[in-house]
Amino acid sequence: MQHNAPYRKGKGAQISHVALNCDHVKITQTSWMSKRMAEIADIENYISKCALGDRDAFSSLYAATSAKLFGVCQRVLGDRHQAEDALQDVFVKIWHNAGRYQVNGLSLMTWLITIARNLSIDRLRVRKRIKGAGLEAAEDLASADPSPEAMAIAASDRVQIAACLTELDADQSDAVRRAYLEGETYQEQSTRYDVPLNTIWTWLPRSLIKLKECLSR
Amino acid sequence: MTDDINTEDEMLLAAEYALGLSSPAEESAIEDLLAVDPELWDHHAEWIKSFANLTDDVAPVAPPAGLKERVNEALFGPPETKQSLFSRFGL
Repeated sequence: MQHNAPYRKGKGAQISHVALNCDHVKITQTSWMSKRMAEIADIENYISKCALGDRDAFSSLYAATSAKLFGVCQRVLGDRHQAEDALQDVFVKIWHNAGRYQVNGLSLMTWLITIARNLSIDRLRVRKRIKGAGLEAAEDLASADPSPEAMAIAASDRVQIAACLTELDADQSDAVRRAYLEGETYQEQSTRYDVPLNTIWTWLPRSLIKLKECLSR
Repeated sequence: MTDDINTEDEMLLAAEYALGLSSPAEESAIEDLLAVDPELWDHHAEWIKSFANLTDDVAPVAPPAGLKERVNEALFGPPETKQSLFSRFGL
């Protein structure tokens, strides 16, 4: 059966980076959204198949998600070479844990991004220990300007935490971001903001309580 | 958890753990708890979802072409080279 309408062309074919990379900015938002949902369903399908040892599904999963996850590794590590090593660990872990994804109740991208972020933070901390220094590793990270495509992705999801962070003092929202994206510890934050550790121990949890209140609204 | 203070403590434990701010001893205690305390798990799941959204501004970057092969090798060993007809017959 032939579908002549051009938008049907790619249907059922291997998905591109669209969900994460968005090459097709011209399509309308509505069709973009439903397309994205279909792609997420595809990726979930790949993960189920990976759990059964399907290497082709693993390749499809890699094709669909590696660019976003590599972006996350680079953002955390600030070093392309180390990000490559981290990404290798990420996909090894995804393959080994694909079966657990189905039972952990997390959304797909949350699970994948958390793996990429956590493994990158682990590497970053090892690197910091080796250097025997606290901050310089995170200092040279440029906060890359988001592309318009990236800005469009999951805008509604992002709004919530971004909006809630603006309700905190600038230093406090900065501290939350740095902890997540740069793995900053309480000790490092105490040095950065030049306040005693006890003060950080008090105000970061206070920020987190405020943040939680906002996120639960 | 029955009272607010404990719920708040659990929420904070989960947040610190998700951010990687817990000490190693706390981390392993939380990991044990996560397996048996659904409320703590829910807090954890909500936090990692919210925090993961902090990466929405991170632009995708295509990894180098050879990386997928490295992943495959790490998982499945070196790629099988296509055997010639002769070698398949032991020649």
